[in-house]
Amino acid sequence: MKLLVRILGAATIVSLTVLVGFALFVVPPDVIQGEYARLIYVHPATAWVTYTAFGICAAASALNLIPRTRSMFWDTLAGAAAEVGVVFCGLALITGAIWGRPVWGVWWTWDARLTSTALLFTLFVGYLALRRSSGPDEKRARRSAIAALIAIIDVPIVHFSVEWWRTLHQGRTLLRPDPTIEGVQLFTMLWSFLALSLLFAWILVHRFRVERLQRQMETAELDRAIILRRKEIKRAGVMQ
Amino acid sequence: MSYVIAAFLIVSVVLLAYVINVLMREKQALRGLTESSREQTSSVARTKAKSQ
Repeated sequence: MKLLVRILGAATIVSLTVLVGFALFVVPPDVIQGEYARLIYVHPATAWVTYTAFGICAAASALNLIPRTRSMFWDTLAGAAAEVGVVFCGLALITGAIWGRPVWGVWWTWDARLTSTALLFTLFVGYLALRRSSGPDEKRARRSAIAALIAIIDVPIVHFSVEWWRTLHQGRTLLRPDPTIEGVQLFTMLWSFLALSLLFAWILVHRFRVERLQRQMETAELDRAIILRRKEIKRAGVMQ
Repeated sequence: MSYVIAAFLIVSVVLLAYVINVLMREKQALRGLTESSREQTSSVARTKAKSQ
């Protein structure tokens, strides 16, 4: 397993290096958007990872709510995926704003896609806050799982917002019968999805480990506290 | 081009900082767990020695 994670880490570094090389130096500027079109090699991929991370969080939460599959493993996975998803969602918002400024003339506008993405970010920040609430682990896990399943409703709203409402944000580039991108631009865009997905997988593995180790540490500390308390009680009994 | 470089820089710095943060937390948790289990082992050994 350790070797697999190392291979994944190496593949991530290589693919990210290739991505930066192609995005900044190999791909020619776009006819309409010029140099700004290079942002297509980072912004959609961060959004894709956001969808994937929150999707994993919701799926793991659902599995944790089903009595037959209930396990703290799913809760740990959901928490890890949500945190990584929030980071990528924040990056999607930032890169979107940087793209918006030269192309639309504004950093931010209350457009359907932008607003629903900001809402998604807020919902999952709230989910992470809920995970930190006190109480028994099982109850907290159940509460968080329900919150994740409510928050995930916003993902299809974000995705289809450009079709459901008139928005400033451009429509689909790839997932349509006549893609508006081809050649080296298409290759680099697809590569960006691959590179950031690998990075996401690698971070998720490590973030999952952190969550699991912290839980083990909490249990070990609780055991230690119980032993100490028992000792105190025993000592008090001897003194009397 | 400055907007493009700014976007790539921000993404790189944020992701690098986050990766370092996760790795440091992993290391810290691993160290804490090792110390805790070592303390527990020595406590059990002391109790055993006392009872004998």
